[in-house]
Amino acid sequence: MKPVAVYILTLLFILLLTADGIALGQPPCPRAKASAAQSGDSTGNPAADSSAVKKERSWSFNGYVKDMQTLIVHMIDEPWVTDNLIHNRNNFKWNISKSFTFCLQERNRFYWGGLTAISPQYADFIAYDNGLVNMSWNIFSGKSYVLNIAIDRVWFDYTRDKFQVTLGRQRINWSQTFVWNPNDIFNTYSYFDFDYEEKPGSDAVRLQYFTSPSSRAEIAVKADKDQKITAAGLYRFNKWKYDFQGLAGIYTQSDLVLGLGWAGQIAGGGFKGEMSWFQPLKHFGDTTGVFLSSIEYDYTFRNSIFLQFEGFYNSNHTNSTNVLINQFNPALLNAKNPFLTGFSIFGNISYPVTPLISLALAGIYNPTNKMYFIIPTFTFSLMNNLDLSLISQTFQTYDPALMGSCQTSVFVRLKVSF
Amino acid sequence: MKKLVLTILMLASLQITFAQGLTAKEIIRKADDKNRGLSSQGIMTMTVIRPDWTRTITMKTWSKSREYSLVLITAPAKDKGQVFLKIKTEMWNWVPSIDKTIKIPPSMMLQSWMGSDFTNDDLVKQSSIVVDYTHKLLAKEKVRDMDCYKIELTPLPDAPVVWGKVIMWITVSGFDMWMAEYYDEDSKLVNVSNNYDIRRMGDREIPTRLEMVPVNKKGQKTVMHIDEMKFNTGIDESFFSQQNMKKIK
Repeated sequence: MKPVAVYILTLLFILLLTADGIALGQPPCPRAKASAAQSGDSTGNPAADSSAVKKERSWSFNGYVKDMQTLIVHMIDEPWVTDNLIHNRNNFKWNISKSFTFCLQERNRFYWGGLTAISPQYADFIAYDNGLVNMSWNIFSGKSYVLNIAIDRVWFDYTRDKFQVTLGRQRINWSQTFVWNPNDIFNTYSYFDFDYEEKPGSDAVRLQYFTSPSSRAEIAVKADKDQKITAAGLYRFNKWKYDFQGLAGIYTQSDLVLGLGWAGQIAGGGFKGEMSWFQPLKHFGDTTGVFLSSIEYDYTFRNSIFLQFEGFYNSNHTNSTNVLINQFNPALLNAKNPFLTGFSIFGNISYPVTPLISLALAGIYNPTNKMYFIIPTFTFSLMNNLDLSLISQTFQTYDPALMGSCQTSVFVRLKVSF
Repeated sequence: MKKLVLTILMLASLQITFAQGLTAKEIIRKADDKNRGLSSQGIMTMTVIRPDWTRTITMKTWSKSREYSLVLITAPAKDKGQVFLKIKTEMWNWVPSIDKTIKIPPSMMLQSWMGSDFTNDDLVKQSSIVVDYTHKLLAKEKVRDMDCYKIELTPLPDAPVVWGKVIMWITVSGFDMWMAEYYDEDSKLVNVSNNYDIRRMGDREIPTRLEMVPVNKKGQKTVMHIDEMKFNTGIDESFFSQQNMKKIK
């Protein structure tokens, strides 16, 4: 399967680049051309409208190169661990016609340093791909380095009027809140994994039908690497200045999942929430169901201070022994158990000191597990496309049994976007 | 970045226009109508200028009446592809990299915009120059070689406006907003905006460069440049949808 997939993708890529030259000189399609020629207040053709000002290229290419230095300190007097990641991301998009779009996004990551050297499983962890088709490859790896190439988006999209079908590896994001997302049943991620800005995708087919400018119905079906199917439907609508959504489906062929979410405002601040219930199909009548809920409130003051709070509840008791590792290990994260058991509260304050410099301080407290997290962030825009970030994540506990898990990580990251 | 949304909205309100033998309110309304059209679409560049640095943002914008607008950020690279959609009083931000639609609450719409010299009130309350103020024609004056109506705008008691008053100079010949002074509630001058470079954009001639200068901050200003603009191109309301927000390019 692997070589075939690589071959097909390479072929598609070449096709994309060569066909682009041909597509450049052509009108998008006869229908778009005809609508562009129309005038009056009833056209409403997006393609025609957007091309009326300037002729567009049919493809786009962008991405970034980042270098991130990591420093991990367990105990101040014990050996510190350092690691470096050179990370390049490339995003290609080809608007084949008015109806068809193709997207390919891949990332190349070169890890080198102490962390790679001291943990033998690190290379496997980097290469982990939860998709039906494995598209993550460790090209070179040695004792102290790993080069990984991974494709995390590759999809075809077909749109006709209010109907849209997307097939391939894509991100299906049904989340509303900021940190914990009970409604994000397709591709769970960890808040702590801040460097994976795009977050993982799913191998899926997604059908969307837009019932009004601010409402839609959709069905999505994904298969994971164990060939387990997750299938769900979502309906989202706007009422009383709130976005509401309800979802229902089957999660990894094992659970019935029901969820609801909203996004609105109270006293000018954002008020959002998500809830999901997972009930194992094999124990349909008993109490083995899992309930997840998050509620968020955020407010921006006139002086640009931004305050954000989020509460989360996780009734899942299958807690893992090493909380920290799980938060970074996508193999162990799942929609039914995205964070520590019990109640957690998140708070964040951020302030743009100048338009170029932003400071933020976030904290998470989980009394059930006697753990807390402190995450200060400093970002500095050095040039239009050059950003420097300094991020620290401190994990602490007052439970003597978990003391070994305490650690502080410091990340210094330089990012050039193109 | 959410603040960028506001930019668009503001654009409409900033290039206000003004008429002869008309009341102050009619002049303001004419200026507003000229600036806005039934609908418009264009490309704009905004540059925030500070003594030590500048930052530039480019965007494509679409709007219809005061109710609908759509903004696509085209530069800088890190923000490219983000879209802001406004339908009546609600606003959404589309972040394509993570496939997320974020509903923007009112407090976020009111925050200061990227540290530029435009206040968010300029951006969000685009209907306010006609509806939220009383208008008084003070004089006719020449400003940078253009004959202008000088009009004082005083906010209505309950109007959601940050200014104590605004003085606007509207060109007699074209009803273009040519200059404006923004005063705080203590009648202290805070910002001065000047519009330049009248050029043909679609079916009309409008100022294409807007500069907002804070009075007490040396070396600072924000420049909004209209690169392209067309009016009354016949955009349907259905163009302003969450579906199109994700497809626009």
